[in-house]
Amino acid sequence: MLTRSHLLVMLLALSSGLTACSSSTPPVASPVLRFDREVNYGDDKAVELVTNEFGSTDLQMIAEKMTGSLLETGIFQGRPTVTISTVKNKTSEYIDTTNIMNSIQTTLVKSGKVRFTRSINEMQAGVDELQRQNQSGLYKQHSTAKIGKMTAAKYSLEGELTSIVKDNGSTKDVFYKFTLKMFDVEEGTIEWQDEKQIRKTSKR
Amino acid sequence: MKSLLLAATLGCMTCLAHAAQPANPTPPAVAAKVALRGEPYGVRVAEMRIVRKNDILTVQADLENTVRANRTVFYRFRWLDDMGNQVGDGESWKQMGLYGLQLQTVKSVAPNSSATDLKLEMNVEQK
Amino acid sequence: MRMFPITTGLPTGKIGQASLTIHRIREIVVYEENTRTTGCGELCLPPARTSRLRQAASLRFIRSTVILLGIAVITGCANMKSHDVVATNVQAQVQTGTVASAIDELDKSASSDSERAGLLYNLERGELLRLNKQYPESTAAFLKADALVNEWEQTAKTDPSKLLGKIGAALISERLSDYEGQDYEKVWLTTRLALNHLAQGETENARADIKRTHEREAVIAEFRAKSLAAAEAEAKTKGAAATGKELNGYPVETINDPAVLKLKNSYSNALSHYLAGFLYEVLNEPGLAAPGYRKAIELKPETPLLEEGLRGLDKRTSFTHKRHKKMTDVLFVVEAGNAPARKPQAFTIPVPIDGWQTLSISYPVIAPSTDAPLSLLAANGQKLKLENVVDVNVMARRALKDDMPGMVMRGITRAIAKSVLQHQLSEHAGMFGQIAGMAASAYTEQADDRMWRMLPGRVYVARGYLPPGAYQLQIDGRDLGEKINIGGQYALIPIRLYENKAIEGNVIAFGELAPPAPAPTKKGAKRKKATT
Repeated sequence: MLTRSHLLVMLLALSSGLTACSSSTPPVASPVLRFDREVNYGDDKAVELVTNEFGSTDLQMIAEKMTGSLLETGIFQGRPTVTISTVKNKTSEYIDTTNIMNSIQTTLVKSGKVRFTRSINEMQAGVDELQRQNQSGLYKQHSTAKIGKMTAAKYSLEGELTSIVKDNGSTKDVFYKFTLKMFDVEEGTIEWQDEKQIRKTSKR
Repeated sequence: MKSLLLAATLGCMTCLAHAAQPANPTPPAVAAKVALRGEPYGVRVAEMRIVRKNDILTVQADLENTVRANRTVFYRFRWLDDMGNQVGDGESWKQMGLYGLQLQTVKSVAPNSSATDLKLEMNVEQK
Repeated sequence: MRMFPITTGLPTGKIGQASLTIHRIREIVVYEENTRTTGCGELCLPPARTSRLRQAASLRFIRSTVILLGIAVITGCANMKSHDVVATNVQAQVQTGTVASAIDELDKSASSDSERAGLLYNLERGELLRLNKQYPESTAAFLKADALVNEWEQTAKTDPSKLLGKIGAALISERLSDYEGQDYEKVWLTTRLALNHLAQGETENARADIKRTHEREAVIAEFRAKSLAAAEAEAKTKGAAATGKELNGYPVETINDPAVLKLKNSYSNALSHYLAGFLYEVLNEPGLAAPGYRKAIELKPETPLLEEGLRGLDKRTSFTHKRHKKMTDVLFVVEAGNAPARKPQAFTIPVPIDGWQTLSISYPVIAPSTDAPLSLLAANGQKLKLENVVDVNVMARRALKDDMPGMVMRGITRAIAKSVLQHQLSEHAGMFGQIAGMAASAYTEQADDRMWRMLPGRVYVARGYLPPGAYQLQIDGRDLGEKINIGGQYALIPIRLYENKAIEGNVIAFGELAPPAPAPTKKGAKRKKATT
């Protein structure tokens, strides 16, 4: 009996080498709670090729290209103020274009080269807070934020996303183009502009 | 003898890929900045240019396909500060096709001025 | 995993060609069962043993089918019930009685808990509760239905053995299988949820519903892409051209070909997209509103109202415009009539059993809508054009057309299986057996007439600027009842219209207009009303 089990262990060790350890002892349990359907966290930076609709990788690639291009031009000398204007979605897909701008803004803010002011969409919350501080009568006089002290943006970012879709039933080709422009608000001039092109092809 | 036989039984494509690799590899200075996972299948990083522009590090890398078959490269740049710590969140992976014998340049810009070094992470697929 | 087709355990006899069809069905069943390792029964036995079981299996097949038929006759009353009959009664109650009495009528039809948990029951009930302005209750019913749809969508993708139940049920009657909802009904469901959530003042939940609507629709559209591409190619060979148009810089591509549009409108619906555009606009997300309006136009080309949605989008969402706006941007959603009915119709086919016998198969049919179209809505005399954006009749008929090949296949299989059974019964159980079999067969052979019937037949929209105030509404000269109060930056007004009755839903208002009278100083007015 003993010799036989010994032989078995030796055989196992020989056949599978190092992995024999894991096969002979039970694996340790990971700290997860899981049901039938397998769910896993994935690499948030992985190339997403599930469908050829606008996806996470496209968003990341656009944001990276735009921030890289903005940072290397050196237009942000002296930490100017910038605001986000509109991003037109001219595709036929429901794409949250504000999300692309959010990614760009995050990276630019983290670079420390630029200051952002409230965008039009973020204005209401700011106005509400100012009114609460100044008109509710709840706060100490000197501690309230003064109305009329906001810094206006020197530059504004305007973008648009377009797409060309060709589909013949078996092959679908989608071409995306994201264009971003930075205007000098006072002068109305374009101070910087870049675009990112993406082609995605899928076969059915 | 044995390896020869094995090589003969394998497809012509793989022969080519392996044969091309030692003849024209990534230059050692560049290879130090490249973290390649798996086989290069004939793809080499011919040159890498690192420039500091307006206080921000920028890089261009020439990826060259030395074989006639098309290759797909997955890559991203990882930015490091002087301590060797990663700067920023890390880039997204990018997929790029390389036609046979084609050279393509990929570019990237560091997320902020603290980046002083970089690594090009990549792997190559045979289709 | 063992996967060998077993085609032996079948009744053999004088059934000629017919056996082929049964064989195929059995093969599918066996395959599905084998891919699952549970509950195989004799179907998973190795081939050597199956030959021994051949005789036994043949008898067992008959016996189990008889039992199933028996069950269908005895307990299946509920399952075999005609949804058409129930829905027609409920619809009559809505139109002649009250919505509350219609809900009672529907509730009477579902006596058991399992019936009350069903998809169709909850869809119908949710719609009725919505008509009765019981929005929270309606949302609860729709959410129940939505949970079922989600569950099915998940299992259909991961667990093909779901098919098994379907095929098994199809051998007796289509009505015994679970109702899984048509694609267009699923899109309607989330659209309805969005409207309910809006009525309940839960704008963020409504946004999630709208997002789910177009995400689900994108999946369906992807599934249909091939047939759409084929239809477009054919339209182009016939001379229809794709036209590119620009509306204030936004590109729109349409093919104004009836066949293509009909196909597109069978699974997509312009209302859902237009509502998506409207809601995203209200939420100040023009980037997401634009594709909503664009898709609505592409579904109903050359509709000025829809085109204006996209053309004026940038202006309407601009900071300056909103600050100076003195009137409410009102969207009327007028839903007229009832969804069409699937009426069972019997066909007879000859079957080669013991000579030739005729058998009855029942299929559903949908009659085209005869409702008169609506054209004009008046609010205190101010006229707004009503545009038809959805025709549920077209959607339902297309869905039925797509279902038909499968239904015919299953119908013939069923007819043959039943006739084989009758034949065997008459041989083994004599006259009495034959009569019992015939009775059961006739009883179970009824077409599947289930569909979401409380939906409207057609949907129209009208949109315009109205100063805040109380309004008397008229449609094509007909008074709609009580006056409604309109106000806010945007307003959405759902109206349900029947031949002799109109039900005005609660007005959903968004945001506040700038105060009508100018404030003492210009500066003060500006500060007070910045956005929204």
